[in-house]
This record gives sequence, structure tokens and C-alpha cells, in this order.
Amino acid sequence: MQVFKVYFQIIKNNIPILMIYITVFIGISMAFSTSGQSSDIAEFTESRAPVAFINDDNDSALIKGLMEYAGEKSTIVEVEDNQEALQDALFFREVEYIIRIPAGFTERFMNGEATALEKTSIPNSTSGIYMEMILNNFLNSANHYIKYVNGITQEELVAKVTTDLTKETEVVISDYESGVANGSGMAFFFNFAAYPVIIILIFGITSFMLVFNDTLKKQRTLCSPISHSRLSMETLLANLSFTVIVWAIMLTASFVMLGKELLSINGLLWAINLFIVAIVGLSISFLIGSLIKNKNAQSAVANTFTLGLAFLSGCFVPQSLLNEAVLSVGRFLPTYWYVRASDEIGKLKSFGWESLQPVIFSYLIQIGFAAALICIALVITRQVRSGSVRQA
Amino acid sequence: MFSHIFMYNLKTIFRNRPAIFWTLIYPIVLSTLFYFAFSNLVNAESFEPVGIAVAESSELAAETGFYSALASVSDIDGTAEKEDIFRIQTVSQEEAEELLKNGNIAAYIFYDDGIKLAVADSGFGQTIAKIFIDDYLQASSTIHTILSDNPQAADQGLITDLAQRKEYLTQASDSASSPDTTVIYFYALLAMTCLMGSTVAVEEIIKLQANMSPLASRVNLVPVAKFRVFLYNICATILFQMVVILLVLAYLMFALQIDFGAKTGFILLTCLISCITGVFFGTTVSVGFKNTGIKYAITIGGTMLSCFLAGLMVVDMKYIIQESAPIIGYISPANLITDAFYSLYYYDGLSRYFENIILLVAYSVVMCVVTCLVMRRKKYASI
Repeated sequence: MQVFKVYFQIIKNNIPILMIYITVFIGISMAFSTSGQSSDIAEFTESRAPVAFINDDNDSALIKGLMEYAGEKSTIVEVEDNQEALQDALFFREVEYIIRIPAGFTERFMNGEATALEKTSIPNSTSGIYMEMILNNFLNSANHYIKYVNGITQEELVAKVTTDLTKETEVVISDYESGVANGSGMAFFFNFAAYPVIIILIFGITSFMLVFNDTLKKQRTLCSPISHSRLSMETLLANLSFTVIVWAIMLTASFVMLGKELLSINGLLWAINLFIVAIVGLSISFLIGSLIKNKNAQSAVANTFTLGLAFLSGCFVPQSLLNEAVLSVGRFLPTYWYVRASDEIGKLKSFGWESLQPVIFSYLIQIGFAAALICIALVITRQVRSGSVRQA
Repeated sequence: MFSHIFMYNLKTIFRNRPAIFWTLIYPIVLSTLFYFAFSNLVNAESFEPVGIAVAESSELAAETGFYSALASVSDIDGTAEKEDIFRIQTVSQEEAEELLKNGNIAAYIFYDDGIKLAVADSGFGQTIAKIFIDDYLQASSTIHTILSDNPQAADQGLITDLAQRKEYLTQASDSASSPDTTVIYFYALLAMTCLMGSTVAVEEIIKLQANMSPLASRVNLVPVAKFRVFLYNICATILFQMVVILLVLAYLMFALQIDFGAKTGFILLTCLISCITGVFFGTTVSVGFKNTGIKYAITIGGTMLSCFLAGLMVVDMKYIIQESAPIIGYISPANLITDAFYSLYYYDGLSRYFENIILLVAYSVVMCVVTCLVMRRKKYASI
């Protein structure tokens, strides 16, 4: 197993660079997991938008009541009241809706005069529509009391409105067969995982190929007592072992990040999907390895190619947020089908043939891509070999 | 002498293919990918009417008030308007269940001893549907309470009043133009391009350290003061880097139509200062460490880490740093560069912009002085 040993010796020398990608991956997925929230569907939870209140009026009972109600329906974020801090908070979506209560609001409102709160929001955003419903509900209801109940005080008003607003619709959760709780979040993690898997495979495998395809070393290897078929077999075995190792490392990382939830059929399907994309990565690496000639080209090609694959197929930005033109290009990339399968798995709640079909279909397309890439690489290596023989 | 050294050094740099790739081609490819991936991101926030279903039943049909409230915000009355909140399918209970199961609708409304909502998931669409029904139930409760307090209210027009909802929110006059978060990615990318110049600068110092390269041994023998050679080489590096940055900037501004705001002069100033910062970052690292691998690892690693903290990979990172560890924001050069572009784009005033620029200039001066002090009077008696 000389070739096999040399293979892993080369991989070992490249461990620092491979570690970079694993670290970056874990760092970024942790940054995402803290910023994104999981939606557990054991019971219906209302979505909340982050909002900021700035009160230029006095702390009247009315305003306290309004803010208390808004606080139940949204997350009130404290933001410093200066233009720059508010603009920053809105820009980075720390708050999505800023409400300024103008001076004299309470007085005018209690007298039934026309008045309004000032909003600063992201135009036409979902959270904006939601907040407007909430605030208008409260104020409309309050306005009716003022109009029809003479001499009502602010305290009475708030008490009555708050009582009315406790009337809530009963929400029934249609729970279908069990799936994973945070399917879309986990799917996102796996979508992202394709990037480190592919780039690590490319760096590892092409490093080996750069050494073994070097003309002088190759000629020396060819006149050694190792038969050509043995050389190929050992290389193939080493490539597969490396792929399995990378897959296992990523799978371990996913267990650490996502926990026990992965011990489910969904988890199994994701693991299979990740393995298939690793095989695709192997075939891509094989192709790149047979094309490049030196280390400079290696890192340039590996980085741009993998980033291209990842961006255009939705590994970083979910496919649902990509525009149609990008998606139609993405369909010609194997990773597009990987992400598609992964998203489907996240949504799976039943595991009959009908619901599994799209996942299996995406698996098969990826395998098709891998086979095609290996064929192309074999044609290229054959041509290079016959070319070098002619040269010699 | 200046023109000779300057010109030949410039030629050497322009023929350095990996340098051209990483400082010019790579940012252009990456920005193109950003552009394609993020082009739809802003639209994703915008509100789309929520798809729901109404499961028909005789009890629900009896709630005429509910139907008319629903009609005013949806297409159930057959007229789809732009301001609608819901898109409604009227179906049977079984069909509604099927639609929900397949994820075609966010929720459906049905009647079972009161108006109820069925969902399969939590989300904004579902919450909006719930709030809408809540409002209807709450309005009924309001009528009830008012009538018990003031039995004449019905004659005074309470019912018609309830149907007409007032709008209590107006757009604030001083609100900013629609803020597009994705520009930060491109600003951070430009910061990366500027700082990547450090790798070229590392090479420049290696050309002058006699213990690092044969070329430097030869250069150390020339009858020109080393400081001058250094100065001329650095001028060539800065010129190269500036050309690269202007090309990337032009690509971002004209090909990808990224909004940088209108203050073109200040944008160019930022580019120049950032590129000088990047170059002196490289020279400082290069004089500070002996091993070539480590020199590159620190410049590339430092650049990427700094850019990560400035929001190149996850845009929220910039705000997290600004709020929880502002000191990192003031140290990290990529953050200062990104923030300079951001304040030109987003703020009217220039105070925050100049804060960034002054810090960048200060760092450049310090790093330049450090480089010169370390290089100064270095003799290579035996190598």
C-alpha cells in the first residue's frame, strides 16, 4: 500500500489549509445559528417583529397601555434616540419598525381629535404590515370607547381595551406525521456544508494529483515494480477513503451543532445527500486535478470554482431567495440538486414513496453529474497520457 | 534613478500573475457572484399577500360581518387589489386540510363553535391571519362592552363606525431612503481588495531583505540608499494597487450598479487611503516575520478575519461588533473602510466618515514608521 500511504502523507502536509475551511465553516454556521431562530411547532407561537418606541409625549396611561400591548406582540428593542443610532439599527434590521409618539398625542387622542403616530420602517415589509395591524387594532378600539362612553378616563379606557384584546382566536395545529422540528434551519446548515466538503476534497485530492502527475515523478513511478492497475486501485481506494473521512468529519460537526434531532429519517436522508455531494466533490476534484499544473492555479481554481458552485446553487443564500435567472443557471450544477434535495428533506413530514420521490430524483441527478464528470476527467487524462508518450 | 526603479518594479508587479488574480480577478468574480446571489434579497422582505383558505360552512356563512371585513382586505369578493393582505381560496374542510398539508396555504379559517384558524407551522403569514381574526373577535367584544355602558350607542352610529377603521400611522418625514443591507457585502469586498494589496507589499519587502531572496542580496549591493529603493518600490506598489482598486470600483459601480452614494471625490479618497493602509500592513508584517509562509498566512488571514468582522460573509457581523465590541471595530481596518463607504452612502453628515479616515491614516503612518525603523541600518554581514 505504498501509494495509499504517500497519499495520506500528502494530505497530512496540507492539514493546515484544510483546517482553515473547517474553522471558517463552523464559525460562520455558528454566527448564523445565533442570529436565526428556530421555529418549534409543538404549539403555535406568534411571530414577533423587533420594534423601537420613542416617546416624545408624557408617560400617560394610554401610552403605557399601548406599549404594553405592543410588547406582548412584538419585541421592543431599546435604541438610543439619535438619528444615527436609529438609522444604523434600521439598516442592520436590529429593529424593523420605529414608532415615534409625537408630543401631545395622548391629549389629542383622548379628545377625539385627529392624530397619528409616526413610523419609520422598511417600505412595504411584512413586519411593517404586521405592526400596523397591531397598533391600529388597539387605537381603533380605544377610539370607539372615547367616542361612545362619555367621560371615560385613561385608566378605564386601557383596562377595557386590554380586556377586549385578550379575546384571541383559537389556533389548531394540524400536526402531520412527525418530521424534524427545525427543518429549514437544519436544511440551511447542510446546504452550507456542501461548500467546505467540496473545497476540502478539491484541495486534498488535487494536492496528491499535482505530486503524482509531475512528469519526472510520474516517469519514475511508471518504471517502478508497481503495476499500473495496482497504482490506480490504490489511488481510487485512497480517494474514496479520504472522501469518507471528510464526510464523517462534517457529519460529526453537524451532530455537534444540531444535536439529537439528527437521529431521525430526515437526518439519515441528509447524511446520504451529503455523501452523494462528497462523491460529486471527488469527481470535480479529479477533473480539476487533471487540468491544473501548479499550486498557484490550484488555489485560484479551487476557490473560484467552489464559490461559484455554492453561490449559484443556493448553498449560502437559500434557493427561495435567488432570482429566476440564477436558478435556471443553477440547474446545470450538481450542487443545485444537492440543495434542492436538502430543502425537500427539511420539509419532509411523511416518508411514503410519493414524498420521497423528489429527494431520490435529486440524488440520482447528482450521481449522474458525478459519473459525467469522471468520464470527462478520464478522457482528459487519457489524452494527456497519450500526449506525453508521444512527447517522450 | 526614480523612474528606472519605479518602472521596472511596476513591470514586475504587473507580470506577477497570482497577484493579479487575487487582487483583481478574484474580487471581480466574487462581486459578480454576490450580485447574482443577493439581487433578490431586498425583495424577499417585501410583503406578499398571505395565501389562506376558508373552509365553507353554514355557521361561517352566517357571520356576515366577518365576511365583509375579510372582503375589504382580500380577493374573496372577486377583486384582487394591490393593498390586499390575503389571497383566499374558498373550499371544503377536507380540501383546506389537503392544501395546508401540501404547503399551498399558510392557514385556513374554519368554524367549530367559533371562528378558528388551522395552521401547520408558525410564521408571519399565520400570525397575520390570526391577528386579523383576533381583531374581529375583539371588535365584537368592544361592541358588547360599549352597549352595556351606553345602550344608545347603537343609534349613535357605533356599528358603521366599527366597520370603518382609522389609520393611526403616518410615515415619518425624516425617515431614510429604503436601506439596502446588501451594499455592505460589496463595501466589505472592496475593503478586502484594498487589504489584499498587503500580499503584494509582502513581496516588495522580500525583494529588499537580503536574507530572504537572491534578488534582495543583489539589490543591497546597488549604490542607492535602501530607503530610496524602498520608497520607489512602494510607490510602484501603491500605484498598482490603486489601478486595481479603481478597476474593481468601476466594475462595481458601472457594471453591477452598486449604490455608493453621490460623493465621488470622497469615495476615491477612501480608496486611496485604504490602499495605502493595505500596502503598509503588508510591509509591517513582512519586516516583522522571517518565514515567508507565515508572512502570507498573517496578511491573508488577517485580511479575511478583518473582512469577516466587517460583514463580508455575514452582514449582521458588522452590527454585532459595533454594538458589543466597538473597540474591535476601531482596530479592524476592513471595518473602518467598510464603515467609511457605508457612512458616505447612508449619512448626510461627514463626521463619522472622517473619524474612519483619520484612523486609517493614523494606522498607515504608524505602520510605515515601524517598517522603516525595522529596515533601517540592517546589515547582512553574512547570510
